[in-house]
Amino acid sequence: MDEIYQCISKGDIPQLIALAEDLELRNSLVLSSPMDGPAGAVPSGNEPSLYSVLQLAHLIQNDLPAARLVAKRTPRDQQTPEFAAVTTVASHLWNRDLPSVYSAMASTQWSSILEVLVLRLRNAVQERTFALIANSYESISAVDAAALLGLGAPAEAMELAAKSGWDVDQAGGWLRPPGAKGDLRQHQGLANGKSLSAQGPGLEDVGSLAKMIVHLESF
Amino acid sequence: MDDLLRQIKAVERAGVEKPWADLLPVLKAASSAVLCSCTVDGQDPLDLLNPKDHSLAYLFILVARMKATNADGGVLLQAAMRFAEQFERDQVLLAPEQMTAYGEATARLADKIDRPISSVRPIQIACIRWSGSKGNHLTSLHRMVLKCCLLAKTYRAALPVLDRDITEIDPQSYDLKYQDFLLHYYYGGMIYVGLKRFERALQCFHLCLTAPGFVASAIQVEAHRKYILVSLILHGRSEPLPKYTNSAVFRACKQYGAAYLDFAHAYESLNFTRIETEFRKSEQQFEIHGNRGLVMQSMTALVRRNIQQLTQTYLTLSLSDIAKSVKLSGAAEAERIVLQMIEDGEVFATINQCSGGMVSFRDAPETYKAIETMRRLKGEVTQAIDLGERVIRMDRALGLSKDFLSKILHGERGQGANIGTADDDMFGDDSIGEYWAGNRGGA
Repeated sequence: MDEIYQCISKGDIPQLIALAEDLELRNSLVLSSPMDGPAGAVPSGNEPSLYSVLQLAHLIQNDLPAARLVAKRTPRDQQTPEFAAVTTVASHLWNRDLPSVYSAMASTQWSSILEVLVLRLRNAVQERTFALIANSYESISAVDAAALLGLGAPAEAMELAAKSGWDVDQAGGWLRPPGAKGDLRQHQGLANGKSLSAQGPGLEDVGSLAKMIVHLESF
Repeated sequence: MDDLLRQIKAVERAGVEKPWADLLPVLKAASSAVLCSCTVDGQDPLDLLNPKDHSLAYLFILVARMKATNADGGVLLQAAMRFAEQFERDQVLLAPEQMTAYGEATARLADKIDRPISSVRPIQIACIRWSGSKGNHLTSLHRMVLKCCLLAKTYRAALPVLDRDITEIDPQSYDLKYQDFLLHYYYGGMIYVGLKRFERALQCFHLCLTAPGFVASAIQVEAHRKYILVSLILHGRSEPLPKYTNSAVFRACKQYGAAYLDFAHAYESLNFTRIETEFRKSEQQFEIHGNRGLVMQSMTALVRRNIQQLTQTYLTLSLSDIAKSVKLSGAAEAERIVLQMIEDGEVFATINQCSGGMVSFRDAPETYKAIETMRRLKGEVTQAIDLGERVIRMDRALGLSKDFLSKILHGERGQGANIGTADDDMFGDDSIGEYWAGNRGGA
């Protein structure tokens, strides 16, 4: 479990998933040994259930089917109240009911370790949603934006929008993201492209081009 | 047992080239009572042997012990795990049917202690290591890993096995039956469905359906039902089976998949009421076959498909009009769905709330200039080159195989000779050349 905690504090989610999945499978091989971690015994005190950690990690990676499977396979004796709270958040995400996601996160008293993950999830959802709004709305009311982003008041949404260079209509309460293209991938592609185009084609590209031509000529 | 252990150690000490081949008949001849016993001084042979150095003996003893009625799950599952992590591939390659038994016994043991998840890791690791470093050999353990993962709901654990494409099928070396192949792809399809990777799922069901053969299997009938539903979700219509599907499968699918074919037919019309009637008509059947979930998913996909259809007619449309034309509860729901579709890249559009909720549809903004596109193109070209080379190699190997040559020679003699002279370097291999000459002389 120690390595898992390290991953949580470092924020290395893919590694966290790998470790937690491995631990789950390995623990299942150990039968009825009392103090053997999450799969062997009901977690007590401060230690969160492995299943809660794994489920949250999948959610952060936006892998909802995987998170749902974790929830489905968790043994009954492992379904702590905290686990149930994680599952509630997950099911709201599954239905893409974002306002409920934020309120479910806020209304639960998380244990200290899970709190780190929940916060990370909240940021991830917020970031994803922000990018989505920026790309799919020509205009959106500050009230709606605040609800989608889990912000307390429309004013906060306006502030955030102004900071990101959006056009803010204070009186009417409208936000206008610049350059909405209706396509999320393009946005990400552009960001990648910038860093790569600076390098230009390398030896590797020429090599693969040569290989391709040799192959075509061999016919 | 003591005798057996002595023999095992003796073989190891002998230091011959292939010591394990000599041990195989001894182990095969040993009765399960001997294999299950302890040594005279009461020691467990599994503790005395090392799964790496004595993989073969370890395997035989482990399997016999796991099959026994009084098997101790706690001890043996851990031994199974140790074995999976450490066995030496060359040794177990000698006894493929024992590996099958290993998988079956492990799964049964896990079932007995009512914890299917505990068999996932041992079988998964054993399968990966047995399949070789490239992992392109199908083994009899493949279908078992997938089944365990389905039972334990750890679908992701199946991916290391499933994501590698199978190119080599060698029934003798890996103890394969026809059903193993079908089940591998059937279970594989189900796992990809569970993870919502529908494209791979469709591929799996397709491979299961088009397996060459003369009879239809119940597995294929099931796969066909799921194949239809997945292709509805993915493409909005069900593709007809390819021409090379064997005719028995073709007929069986038509007969047993009638309800699904009717449903698919209605679905293609994109008419909601028609689909609804068809759904009500066969709902019970879907339920019994365990396909209700997939049918429901295809119904949800229908709304999205209908919205996609709108983009071909309109440039801009209000949210309430969208809601009306695809029968949603209202503008708010339409907005949510359109937003989801934008997120999933299914539609290119922007919403303008300020002007009363107008949606402007746009053309696909793909300009084929993005780095990502280039990278994908490059990856796919490399893969195509790779596959092409592999096909050429397989073609050559087949052309050189004795089975093929004798078939051609005895079947259609005239044609066979032509092929022989047309491609001389096909017979660069001396032994084959001799074989050819000998045959010709005989004729």
